[in-house]
Amino acid sequence: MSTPPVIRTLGLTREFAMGSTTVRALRGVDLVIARGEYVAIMGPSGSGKSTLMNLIGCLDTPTEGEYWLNGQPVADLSPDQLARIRNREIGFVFQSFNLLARASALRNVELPLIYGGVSPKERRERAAEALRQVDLVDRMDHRPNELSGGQRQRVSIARALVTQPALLLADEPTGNLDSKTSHEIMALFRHLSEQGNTIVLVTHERDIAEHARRVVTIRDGLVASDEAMVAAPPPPHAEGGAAAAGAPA
Amino acid sequence: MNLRRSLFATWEGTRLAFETLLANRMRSFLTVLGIFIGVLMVVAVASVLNGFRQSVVDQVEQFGTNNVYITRFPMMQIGRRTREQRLRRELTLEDAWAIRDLCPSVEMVSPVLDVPTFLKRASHGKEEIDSPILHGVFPNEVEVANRVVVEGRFFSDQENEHASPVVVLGFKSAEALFPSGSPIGKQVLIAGHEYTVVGTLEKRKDGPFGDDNREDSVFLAPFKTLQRYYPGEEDLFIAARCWPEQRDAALDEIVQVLRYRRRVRWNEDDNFDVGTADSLIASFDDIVFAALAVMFLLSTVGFMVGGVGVMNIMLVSVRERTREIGLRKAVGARRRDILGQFLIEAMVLCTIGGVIGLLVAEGLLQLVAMAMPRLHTETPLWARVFAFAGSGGVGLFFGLWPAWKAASLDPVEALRYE
Repeated sequence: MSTPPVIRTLGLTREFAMGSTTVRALRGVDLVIARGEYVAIMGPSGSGKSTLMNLIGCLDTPTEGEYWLNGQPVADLSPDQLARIRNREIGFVFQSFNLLARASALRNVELPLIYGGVSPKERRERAAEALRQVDLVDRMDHRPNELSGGQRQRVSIARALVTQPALLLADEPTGNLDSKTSHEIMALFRHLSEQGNTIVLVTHERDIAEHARRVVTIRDGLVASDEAMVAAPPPPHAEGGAAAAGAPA
Repeated sequence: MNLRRSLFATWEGTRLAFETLLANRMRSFLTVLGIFIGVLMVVAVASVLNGFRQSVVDQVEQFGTNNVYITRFPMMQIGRRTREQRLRRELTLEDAWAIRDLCPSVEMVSPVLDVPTFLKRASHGKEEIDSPILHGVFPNEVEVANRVVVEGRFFSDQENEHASPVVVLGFKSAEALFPSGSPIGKQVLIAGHEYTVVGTLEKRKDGPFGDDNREDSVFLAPFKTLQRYYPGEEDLFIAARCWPEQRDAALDEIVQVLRYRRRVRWNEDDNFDVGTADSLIASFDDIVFAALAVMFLLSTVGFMVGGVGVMNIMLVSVRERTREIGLRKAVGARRRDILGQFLIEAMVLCTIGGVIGLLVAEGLLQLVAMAMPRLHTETPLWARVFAFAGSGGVGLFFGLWPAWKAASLDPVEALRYE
């Protein structure tokens, strides 16, 4: 049995009505991402990469075109069905972390499991395990405002990992972080990729994109280029970052 | 699986609601003030009215639930008497005996002659009572009105037939005229006539506001004695004790007899009033019900004001937490999860307001009870249920629109919201 690609899109088109005119943000994107790939989607602002990310993340539905996520067609699903898909198949990492301010790290990580109908006991165990993966077990009971920026982003990565999704979708995950912390986070992503997670990273920064093994560039709503990075050895600074994070604590 | 999921989501929503409430204590308090006041009013008024009603019921039932009372004028009437009422003939002793003789369901009849003693007084030595209540009765009044003699005896048939100047004192009358020592065998002067005290009566239940029961201030003298002393007085109150289980039959018989005797035409209304403990309580309940209805209406205003406040604050809350809603949707919350979360929050908010209102009301009633120990209050169960369910219902109703707005947010835009 061959495993289907995690993402397969065919002529993905998304139009927005802006008053009387129609803006075509995406004009037919064909993209295939296989299991275990680590892909960066690049593009300047206004290129349509955010729209593509929303479609890939099942937060939005295409005007035209087909999209199979992990083998299931999702282009025509209802909002509630999409919510279910997001819960099971996708882990989001946002630029601004989007953590619940009044909840502890543990409860933030538990959140997707609540909507997945997981029992409180199992929720706690799995959330603690996810926090262990990002090396934050000892910060489990801290609230976001008691954590540093890098720690917050690691909490949100743990939240994305906790459902064991088919796809980890990160939208400018280092946009709010200083360069040192950025490298730590990128090292973490590489580490997760090496463990077999499929990762899609949306960014406009070239040096961040270069951490990935494949870079897809979007321009004017179309795929402008699709290049494989040197798979082995990885770029020297990324290697250094990975090594630094490879032996954390 | 789906039920489990809903259960977890509901629990999470409730927990979240309490956290949000605690995080915005002052705001939450001000929001539910209207509901708090509404519930406070309902519960306080309902408790006082209910206690009031209960003591009226106790008093009326103390006379016996198997009695029929007959009066010339309506027993409960708001407003002035009509011309027809003012022209009514008196109820006579013959009427009373006709009821006794012609109504098979009636066991015995106690006619009561109420002698006007306005501005007169009853006295023993230096002790005095103004405007005493002087009733002429037959010896069977003891049984019909459930009176209990605690000291001495009731007067006898012979004393009645011979129009002896004897009297039985109500509890208060005895206390007032004989603050120390037994009254039995002593003389009292009532409106210029001298009587010998032969007995005293047990205390009756207190009045609705802890006031004295009028029945404790009576002077009961033989009917025929008062007939001799007050030959012009003919207006009677008649109490009829019915055979067990035959009160309704007795009621019909009495009405028939009196309509015949008082020459009421078939198409005219009764020119007298008959009542039972039940009918007295029922007509009193009409008054209680009217008062409750008015109070409900007023508390509805509180609920409306409170509800609009809750709606307003929930709309603010939805706006403040747009990104949170976006995030929840991104990690898998469905429309109904978000809807449920905000509905629960509105309901928890309102229910807490209602429950605090209930607790404060009960606390206040306790304080009042301490200050006025004889005031009878009793919070009825329905008032508690109302405080709980009513306030929750307000939350549900007024939370619906904000919650629906939250549930309808587009996840992409909600996540982008600043």
